[in-house]
Amino acid sequence: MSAEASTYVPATPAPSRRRFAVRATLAAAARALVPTAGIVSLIGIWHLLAVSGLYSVDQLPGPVDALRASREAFSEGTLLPNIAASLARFAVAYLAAVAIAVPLGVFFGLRAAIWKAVDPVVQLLRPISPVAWFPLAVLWLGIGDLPAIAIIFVAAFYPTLLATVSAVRHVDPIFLRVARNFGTRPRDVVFKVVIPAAFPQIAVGLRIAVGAAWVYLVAGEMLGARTGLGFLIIDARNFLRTDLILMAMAVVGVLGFVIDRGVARLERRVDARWGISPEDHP
Amino acid sequence: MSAPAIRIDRATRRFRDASGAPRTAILDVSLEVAQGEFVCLLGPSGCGKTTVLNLIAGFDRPSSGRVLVHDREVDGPDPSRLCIFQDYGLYPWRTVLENVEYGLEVRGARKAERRERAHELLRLVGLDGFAGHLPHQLSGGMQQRVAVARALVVDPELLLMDEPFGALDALTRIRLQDEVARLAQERSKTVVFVTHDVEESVLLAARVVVMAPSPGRIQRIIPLGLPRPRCRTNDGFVALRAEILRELGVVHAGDSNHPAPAKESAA
Repeated sequence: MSAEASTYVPATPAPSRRRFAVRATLAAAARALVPTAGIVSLIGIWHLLAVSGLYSVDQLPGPVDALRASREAFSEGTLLPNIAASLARFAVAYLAAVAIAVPLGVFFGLRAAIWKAVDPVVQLLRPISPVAWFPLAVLWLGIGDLPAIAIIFVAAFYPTLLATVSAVRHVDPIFLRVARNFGTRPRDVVFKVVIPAAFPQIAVGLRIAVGAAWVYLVAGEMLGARTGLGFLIIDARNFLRTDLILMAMAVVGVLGFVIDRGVARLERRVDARWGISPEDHP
Repeated sequence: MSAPAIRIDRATRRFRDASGAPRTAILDVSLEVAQGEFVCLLGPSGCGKTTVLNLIAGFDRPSSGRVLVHDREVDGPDPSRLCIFQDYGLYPWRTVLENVEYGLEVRGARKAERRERAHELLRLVGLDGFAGHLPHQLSGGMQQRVAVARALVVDPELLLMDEPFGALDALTRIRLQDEVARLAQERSKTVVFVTHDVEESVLLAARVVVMAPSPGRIQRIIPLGLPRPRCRTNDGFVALRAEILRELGVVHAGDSNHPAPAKESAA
């Protein structure tokens, strides 16, 4: 290939190469610009609505008001500790859900007969909004951190479990044949073949679960927690501080976006290692 | 003469298809394969050649009849009878080296030992320079070579190959055919090789087992008796190729210069 390049490059007229480089740079800029333009437009529309006089400033504060509110919350020391509280709660609940749902999913995925009994139970429980568990969660777990964690846990649990079961059931049978052919012990079949083979699909489930659980973070914290972004919203409502409410909502959105990007990057790295192109995912 | 490596005694395999109708995959198949022999199972799709292979491998059991390997009834897969599949079956999350090591790893071999042995086999198939690559970074022909190395690492007595070169381009296939012929001879492996490619069977086999469909059965067993290494343009080669095509009903008698290509390439 290098030989090919060295004979080819001098023959290429310089202007066209430069034009190509310029075009590539423009394309890269456009790729970054288009999504940014979407977000800028959202903020612009929000601003126009806020200054249009349709609602009073107390009903619909604009982005500038929200920014001012964030500076106030930051300097009063209510912003960062509440973000930290939310992230900690989320991490505990999400990781607990993954730690329980993935092994369970592997087990049910391998035991089709048992899954036939469990699947309807899951399908029956899954449509119940995680928030509906809240009154019972308070009765069982008391007031404080745990009910909120339970809600996030429930939200992350089902997608992770279902994705794992499906991933394990759809492991390419040839991988299992090869494993049996080499006389692999059942334990090794699970850990050396089934789980790695299912992992890219499990990773898809993990990403869906992160999104679902993050949505319920605020709901969980609005119901009884004394810290966190959800609490910040409830607290601001009690003082009719709509600018603080919108500021907290924006922070929730931005953090959710960043977390999703992080998990997506992990997913891409798994796919690259496994040799899966993005189109291979259903 | 020693006992045959494989003895299939009137094996029949029936199953129910998707609509629940009974089907006979193979009927009354009897076959003996000698130690170190290279046998090709040749026939159109639906003739049960893969079923026979799966019975020897132990992935499947006969509905009636017996399948014996070294005088012992086959009762499940075993590393002494290793399969090589058309789509390789390499583990995409493992490097080439780790794939080749797999058979020794699950046997509990020490790391240094299995590394050394895996490198040795990668050298044998000419891929030692790709030890750290992932399977998807390799061409199909290279992946199948890795699969061959992975199989040989546990030193199996039988190699069971199910259309191993079916997914490869023509030139790569020719190169790998020569390589497999050489490896099987050098290491005196008993090989059962499933194919629908007449030329491939004439190139590789000591005997070609021509099979016929519905129900799958052995139509004729043709001993080749050609010296090795074989040449595709040799007179004896061309004559045998024509004879087998005739046996498959692809060429009419006396028409060996104009084989109908449609059936051969479609299967």
